[in-house]
Amino acid sequence: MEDVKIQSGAPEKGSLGEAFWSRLQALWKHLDSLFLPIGGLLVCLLAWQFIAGREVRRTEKDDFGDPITKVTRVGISSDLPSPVETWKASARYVVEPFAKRGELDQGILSFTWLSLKLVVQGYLLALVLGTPIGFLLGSSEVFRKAFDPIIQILRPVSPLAWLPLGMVLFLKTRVGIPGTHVVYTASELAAVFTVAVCSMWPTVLNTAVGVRAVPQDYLNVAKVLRLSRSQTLFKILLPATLPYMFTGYRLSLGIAWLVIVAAEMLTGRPGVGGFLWQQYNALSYAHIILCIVTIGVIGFVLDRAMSVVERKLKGA
Amino acid sequence: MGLLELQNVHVGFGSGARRVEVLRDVEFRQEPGECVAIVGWSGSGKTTLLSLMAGLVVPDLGRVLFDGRQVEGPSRERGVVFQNYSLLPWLSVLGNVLLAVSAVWPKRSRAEQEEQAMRYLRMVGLDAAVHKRPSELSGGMRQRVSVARALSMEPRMLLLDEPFGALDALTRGQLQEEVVRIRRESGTTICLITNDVDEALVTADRIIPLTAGPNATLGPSFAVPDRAGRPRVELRNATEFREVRKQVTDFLLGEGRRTRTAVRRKLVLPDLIPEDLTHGRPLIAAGRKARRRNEIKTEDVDLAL
Repeated sequence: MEDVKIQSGAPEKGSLGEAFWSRLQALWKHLDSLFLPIGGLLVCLLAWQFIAGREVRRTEKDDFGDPITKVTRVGISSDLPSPVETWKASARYVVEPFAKRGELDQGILSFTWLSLKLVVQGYLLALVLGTPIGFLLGSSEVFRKAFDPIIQILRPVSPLAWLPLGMVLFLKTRVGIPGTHVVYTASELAAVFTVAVCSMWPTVLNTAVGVRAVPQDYLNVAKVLRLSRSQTLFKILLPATLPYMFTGYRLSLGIAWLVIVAAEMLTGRPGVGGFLWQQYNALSYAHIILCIVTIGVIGFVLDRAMSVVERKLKGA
Repeated sequence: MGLLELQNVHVGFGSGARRVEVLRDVEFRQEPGECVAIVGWSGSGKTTLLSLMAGLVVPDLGRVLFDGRQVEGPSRERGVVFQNYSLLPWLSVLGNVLLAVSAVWPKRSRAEQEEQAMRYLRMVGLDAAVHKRPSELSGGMRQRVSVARALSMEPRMLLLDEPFGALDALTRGQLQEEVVRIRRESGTTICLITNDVDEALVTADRIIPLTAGPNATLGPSFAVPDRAGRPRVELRNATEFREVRKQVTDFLLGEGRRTRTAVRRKLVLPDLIPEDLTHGRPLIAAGRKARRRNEIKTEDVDLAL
């Protein structure tokens, strides 16, 4: 620390150039975490531009001798819109993020909100179910032997496979919350079910690992202090497992966000995934890229938020 | 009748051919108010012995009696200080002690419980650090918290399992004196398990060596001469203390000595496939790994010590 001060604070006479360089280096050290990601982004955009097609307008004479303009696309992947085209086509959705022009023509944040609502419901269901299952799996040898094989088999099943089952399960169900106008339709319930089933496993497995990893020392303390079963659970096991549980919760949230897109695609519900699929069918390829970017950014934000909560809890 | 008695106790782990006897025919008896140190080789079953006394381990044979009654599990009458502190990292110093206090006296008010906890934290000299977390404390201070936690349950006996093993020599000396002082103040019966004969000499009334495991058992009891107010430095060099130290060490090195140690090592038998020159040699040829299961053999090598 002191060395740096001497170098930058009191340059010797005649070494002004050196001082300037060392300052520049210090500045670079501060700013490289800003410049380097921007550089990386530019490289990716250039690559995209290189692959993307562009429009070529040609004026020709048709059979009757009238001039007409023919628009063709050329390029490595001629139908892929370039960055600028993507922005032009998407600006409407980004500039008015909460506009609602129709069920499947809304601002991008409006879609995001619809998707998030379902994700949160499915995710909370996954936590409520997954945490106790994880605790049982980690603490009871009998339970582990009985259910671990089933869990290992169900875990890798894709959301695309769960969704039809969810539709069948809730085909004739309409769940209304009494006293409100909120009604869950079959496709909503199926989506929530799929999110819950798919995102539950990281929570289950991490909680189980956490319970198994509780040091024997802590359990000995519980025994020596003669803590009751519930005291041992809430004062020793739960706090000791908490870091593992939160790692599970974070992974689960990531998966829940992945699954909702698939679920919306299949059910055609309004949301980021539903919009993506609709625009693909409408040959509006720029909006697919808009959706992909949105999904990525939201997923990133969710993960960051979760890791902040995780760090707070681990520090506490 | 002693406060704590072990009668003909055997403990082992595993079963059948893989069974290892850890403790064999242990006879032990401690009077109320006494401080006994059990000294032994590392890995000789000292912690198992202490777990027996605490009630964490049940003997396969024989009886563990506390105050004439058979020990069936841990009890607040025997406070335990573990080797590695075993503090709960998510609780503050006070919280760790309070956990013990509230487990023993759940019906007392929070204020009374806190007062009880603070009384013992003051006794170990930690009243200034009660709101810190264990990770913010030095090893010596952590072990003080652990001692305070054990004492706060007002046990009739304190079991210390190599309590200062992980500490530096200076802190260790300091804490040994604390143990002597706490014992003088509270009059608790103490059983101290250690691998350091000097530690036993400065804290205990009697020293009992534990022979090397497996099949460890307790040796004869060596009485420690009266220390009454003599400083540690003097104790180290006093003739009568040197005599006891020599006796204990001789016992550990002679009768209690581990006679042989077996080392199991894995061998990879030489490759019997003829070298094929047409394929060329691998670039890195060192350390061939076994390709078939029958290439691996294990052998036991006895090392005499």
